[in-house]
Amino acid sequence: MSKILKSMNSKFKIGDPVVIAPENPTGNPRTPRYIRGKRGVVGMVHGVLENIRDHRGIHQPLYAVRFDLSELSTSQDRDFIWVDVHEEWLSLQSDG
Amino acid sequence: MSGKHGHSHKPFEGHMHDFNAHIRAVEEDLEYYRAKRFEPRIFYLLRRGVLTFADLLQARVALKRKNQFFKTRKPQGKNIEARVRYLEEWLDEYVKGIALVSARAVEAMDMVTEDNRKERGDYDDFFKIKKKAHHGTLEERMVNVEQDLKDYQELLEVFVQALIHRGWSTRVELEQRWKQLHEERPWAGGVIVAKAWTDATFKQALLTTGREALREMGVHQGKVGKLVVVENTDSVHNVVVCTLCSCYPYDILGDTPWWYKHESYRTKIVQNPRACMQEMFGLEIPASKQVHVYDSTSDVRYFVLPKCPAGTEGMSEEELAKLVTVDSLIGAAEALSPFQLKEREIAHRELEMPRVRPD
Repeated sequence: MSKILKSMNSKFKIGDPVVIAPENPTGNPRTPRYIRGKRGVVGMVHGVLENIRDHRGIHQPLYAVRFDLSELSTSQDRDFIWVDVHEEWLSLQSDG
Repeated sequence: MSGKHGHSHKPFEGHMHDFNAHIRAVEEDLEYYRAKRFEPRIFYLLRRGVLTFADLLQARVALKRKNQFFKTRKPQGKNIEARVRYLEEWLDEYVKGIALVSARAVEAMDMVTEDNRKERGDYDDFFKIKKKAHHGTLEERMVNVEQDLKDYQELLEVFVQALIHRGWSTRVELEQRWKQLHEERPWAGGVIVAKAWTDATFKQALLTTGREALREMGVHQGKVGKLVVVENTDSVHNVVVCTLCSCYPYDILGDTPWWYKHESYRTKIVQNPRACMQEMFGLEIPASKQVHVYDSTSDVRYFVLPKCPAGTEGMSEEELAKLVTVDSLIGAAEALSPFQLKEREIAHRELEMPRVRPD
């Protein structure tokens, strides 16, 4: 059973401008390469999820980060890509 | 409820007579279910001593035709179309067989499939499971798939026999479950969306609480990750992908469509979503809408709440549910209009291919 263990202790909140770490910080490989080093905005705070069917142990809080398509691709369409990313991959954009 | 609302092997653009595409879909699905659903389960039980290789070998030796759980199949079909249909049916049975040995009845052995994704190699190249490459003419590929299905089905049979022999399940228990797997049920995806279209309170609950909302309506709630439902509107079109593997709310919506697992979809949809939807599904998103692609990389599963088509005033929930296709819940299509549904039903009758795979 998957359940949300705590959603209050998340470091980031909706609207925070974030940048994805360029490299794998802790051996958690679930961040696709195409967003590494890219800038986005926190769009949803999923919190800490337990999902014993798929893995043992508890991961850091999970967020849905929203990127402009043009940040990730050569496409100039004004569309968006949302990607679920764990907290250890994120830091606040320093220059906004 | 016809199978077309659940799982389907239809190719990207629905050419019914593109046999290459049908065979490609069978190849993709077969390898997926073998490599990702069935064999990891065997490894898991072997590693934990629930079953041993010796158990499997003994079960194979002891296997008599009259004790077989699954019916013996041989390749058949007078022409290519019949062979393809037969293969699709056979694959269906293989997939149901895997569901059978993954069922609660067999989980009395108190197992949790932790680290499952790692063991399957979903995220890590080091653990990546080698899949068969498929080459050759259509004829060669059909012969290959026929042989693979025969081999894989045999392993499944032996596995079932070993489970029974070791007392992890009984034949009666498995037979009951097998019957249930073949019962027709309305497809949950259609039921959920039709309710959301007709009941604003439910829709709100679905969009804000996900799985919680399903419990109240008596739909099987599932348990794979958190569920997020994203709504299509006049200004937003949503589409879902899993670029790392193939995360999908299969516990609610049933089997994953084959193209969702295909590398070309997983690559193109995040590079150029509009072009991808146009080329693969013939779906053109007007400039007035923004496209939002959801890449489901972890413990959250997404599906799209499509827009209710025009011309549906006065239709019952049951009728509305038929307009909801698997593709529309991923964002690869709009829900069917009542007219499109009619056309499809006629086409399916003509092709005599109502194939049912339960959710």
